[in-house]
Amino acid sequence: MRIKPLALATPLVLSLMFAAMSTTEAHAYLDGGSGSMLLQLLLGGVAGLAVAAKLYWYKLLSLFGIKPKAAASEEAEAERATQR
Amino acid sequence: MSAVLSQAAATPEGAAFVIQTEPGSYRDRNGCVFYRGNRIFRGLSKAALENWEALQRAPFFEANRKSGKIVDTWSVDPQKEGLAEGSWAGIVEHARIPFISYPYEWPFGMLKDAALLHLDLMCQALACGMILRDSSPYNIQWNGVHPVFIDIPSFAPLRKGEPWVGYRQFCELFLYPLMLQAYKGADFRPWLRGRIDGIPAEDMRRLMSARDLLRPGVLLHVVAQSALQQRYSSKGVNVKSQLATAGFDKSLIKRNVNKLADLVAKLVPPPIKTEWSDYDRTHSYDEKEFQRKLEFVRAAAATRRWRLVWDLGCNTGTFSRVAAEHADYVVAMDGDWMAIERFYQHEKAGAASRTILPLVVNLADASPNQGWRGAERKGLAERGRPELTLCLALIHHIVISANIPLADFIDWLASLGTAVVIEFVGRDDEMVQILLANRDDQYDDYQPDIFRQLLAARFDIRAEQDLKSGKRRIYFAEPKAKL
Repeated sequence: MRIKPLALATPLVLSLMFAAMSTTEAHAYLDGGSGSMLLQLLLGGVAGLAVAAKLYWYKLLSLFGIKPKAAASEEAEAERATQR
Repeated sequence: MSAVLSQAAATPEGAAFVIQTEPGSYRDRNGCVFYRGNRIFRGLSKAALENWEALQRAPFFEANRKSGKIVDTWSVDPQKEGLAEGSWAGIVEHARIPFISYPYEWPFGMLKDAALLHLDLMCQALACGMILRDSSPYNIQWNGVHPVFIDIPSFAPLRKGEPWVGYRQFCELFLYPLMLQAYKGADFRPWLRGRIDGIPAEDMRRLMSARDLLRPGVLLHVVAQSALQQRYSSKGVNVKSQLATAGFDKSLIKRNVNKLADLVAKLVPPPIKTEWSDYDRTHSYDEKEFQRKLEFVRAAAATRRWRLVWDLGCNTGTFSRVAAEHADYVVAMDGDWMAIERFYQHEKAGAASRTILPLVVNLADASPNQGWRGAERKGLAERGRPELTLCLALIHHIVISANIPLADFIDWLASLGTAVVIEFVGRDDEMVQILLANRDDQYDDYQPDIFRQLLAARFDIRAEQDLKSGKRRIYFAEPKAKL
């Protein structure tokens, strides 16, 4: 039985990553649960952790008021996609 | 809410044209199920109609429809069917499921196979750029022992960067109940019957001991999920778009789905021996008497073709199979979950019938009407009245163990309008003596002549026979003809 130390550390790490975020409506009738959707990053293995790191990095940048060009346009696209 | 299409039925012929909406089909505003006569239709919104058209183009849909894993569905022309379109953009029709059942009536194996079907369809959908929007075992029904996915509008195109919204629901309604039985040996059925949305992560977390934390899937799917859900519950967080920005990819979903499938495939109920799971070997009949009983049941079943048969107290299904030779569909019920589990596994590995459905049902407390307005999930008799009911080696459990008066039980059978093959187990039978051993004998009504009298008052007895040298007597009776 493999015990994953990462599995214990990552919830703590993830919880430190996200400060207050914007409030917009979800677009499915089902509430996927914020925590459950974030967990999928860990369940995604190494690739998931890479995405988690990126999320953290963008969050960090936004705390300094910096919005990287790529991030800004991606976010705009994501907003359009979810609004469709 | 939905467009309620109703056409008043002034005549009996008109009744076939009355449209009834399905009261349980309301959560997703994009569609609504309704019935007309024996047919099942679903109204689709514009968005749902687009999804349906995308689904039809996806290669996996046709393959699964043919193999029976997805319910047969086709578009209908409202004009041709004489259906008022109302506010729907389109209407589809579904093939009918012979008898609806719910996960709180399924043995472990059926919930597990339903979960595996769900994950399998997720995998195939992802490969075609689609996903299932929710993950509920109520979206799966059965043709005999074959699971079939019925919620067509749940298939939708997967948007770029979108996570698996249904993952939490998968855990609450599929994974946690299976883990509860596999890891803790606790029956999951009362939990699912008591909570329409399943077991929340927080509750599951509290059930896990230190030992359980080491079991497969617990740390991630239970502990981590519970922790993260609590952490983010009160924040108005739009996680979905944040994840999309950070490059969430469907390969992450695929990996999760594959690992869940591996996990679920390995879950098995603990090897408990329940009281009746060994019935085939330990019942109190010798071979010759058993054959006589079998022949009586076979002869009774063969008198005509039955649309729906109920086998109450079916145990491992010997007599259900006999009835199935002359029936369109048999619903085999027993209160002993291990017996039904054995029944299911045996049937799956053997004839894999499409016409025998095994369910775990306690007759003294059968599934009631539940959910919103008591109409979302239906009680047993509401889902289909039997034409023939087998009550073999049952009556002593009903009257003595469950303390239900004999007259009441016969009354209930009569109210179903069903013919019966019923076995009266006499007081000198070993099984009854075991039941009476530790009870005060308050069962004055439990006598063979009283039984026959009560039966003859509500039914016409067609045939009767002594078994086990008079210790038992078996009857075949039909409902009294209406005058």
